[in-house]
Amino acid sequence: MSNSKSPFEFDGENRELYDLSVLLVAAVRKVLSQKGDIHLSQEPRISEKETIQFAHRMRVDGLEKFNGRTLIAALNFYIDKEHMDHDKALGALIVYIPEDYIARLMWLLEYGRIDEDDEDEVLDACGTVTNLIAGYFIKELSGHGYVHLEMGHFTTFVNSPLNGIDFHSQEKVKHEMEIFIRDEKRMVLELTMGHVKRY
Amino acid sequence: MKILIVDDSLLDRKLLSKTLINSGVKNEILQADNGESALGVIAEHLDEICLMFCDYQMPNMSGVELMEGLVKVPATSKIPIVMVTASATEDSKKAAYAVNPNLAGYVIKPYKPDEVLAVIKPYVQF
Repeated sequence: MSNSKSPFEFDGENRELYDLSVLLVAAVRKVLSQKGDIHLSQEPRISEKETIQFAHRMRVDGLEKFNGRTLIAALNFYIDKEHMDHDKALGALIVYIPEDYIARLMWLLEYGRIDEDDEDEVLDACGTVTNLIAGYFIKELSGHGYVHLEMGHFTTFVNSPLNGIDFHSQEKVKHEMEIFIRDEKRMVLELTMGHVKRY
Repeated sequence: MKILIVDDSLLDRKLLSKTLINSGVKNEILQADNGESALGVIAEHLDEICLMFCDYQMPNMSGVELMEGLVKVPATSKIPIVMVTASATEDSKKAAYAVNPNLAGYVIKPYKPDEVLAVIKPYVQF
């Protein structure tokens, strides 16, 4: 994947993760457009940031992404089923969505109305969207010559998980992508990933 | 006869139920939010379940693990199972069919109602 041909701005150093991030954006674009006819109003900028970890878990804070209550869903990727069974994550996807947008998003994605006052339901909604994105991301990876990754089950939080989230603790950087819909920042994604083999 | 939907996502269970009802399916719909509770529902309604939708990614017991347990028991091995998943790769599909070669269907989220209908027609009442 040539950087000069990419529509995405990028000023980081981890080219391998950048290539995966581009595929993640493609996955987001497909989920939103195919399920809800939603289109990004600007190309996401892919920013490289250092991971902050404690006790081998990554710090995650929704209040750094949005002003207001933020729903967070995190999901891990694994090399294979055995690694998944032993909680040896290769990577992590974290999706942040402002709480006041989730009902609108689920409506646009044809999930019908959700109860905005039911915290379990809005968190489940955030996890459901994350699950869709992760599924499309794995498909994008396979379509671009990467080996199949197993995806775990999503976990959800409001604002910040106290104990952080699981990730490949040797990975020092993560990539952040801001998703704009109708010129408003509506979603932020973070991706961290160890080496993914190619066929 | 009844249809069982097993999915940890409440919204996905609601969406699938709505899809079935709006498509004119008359069967009663049962729900379970994980593999363990699905086993309880199946034990209670064993002779009444004509079709089961099973999410692939669930905590503790995945859809494939649940299905693996069901196909090993003669009494439950005949339940037609449709795997529903966000993981659209051939590897995931192969893994599901390896566990259950008689899988009734494999539906990828986000699905269109017609895709679900095409799979369930032989098993449900309209």
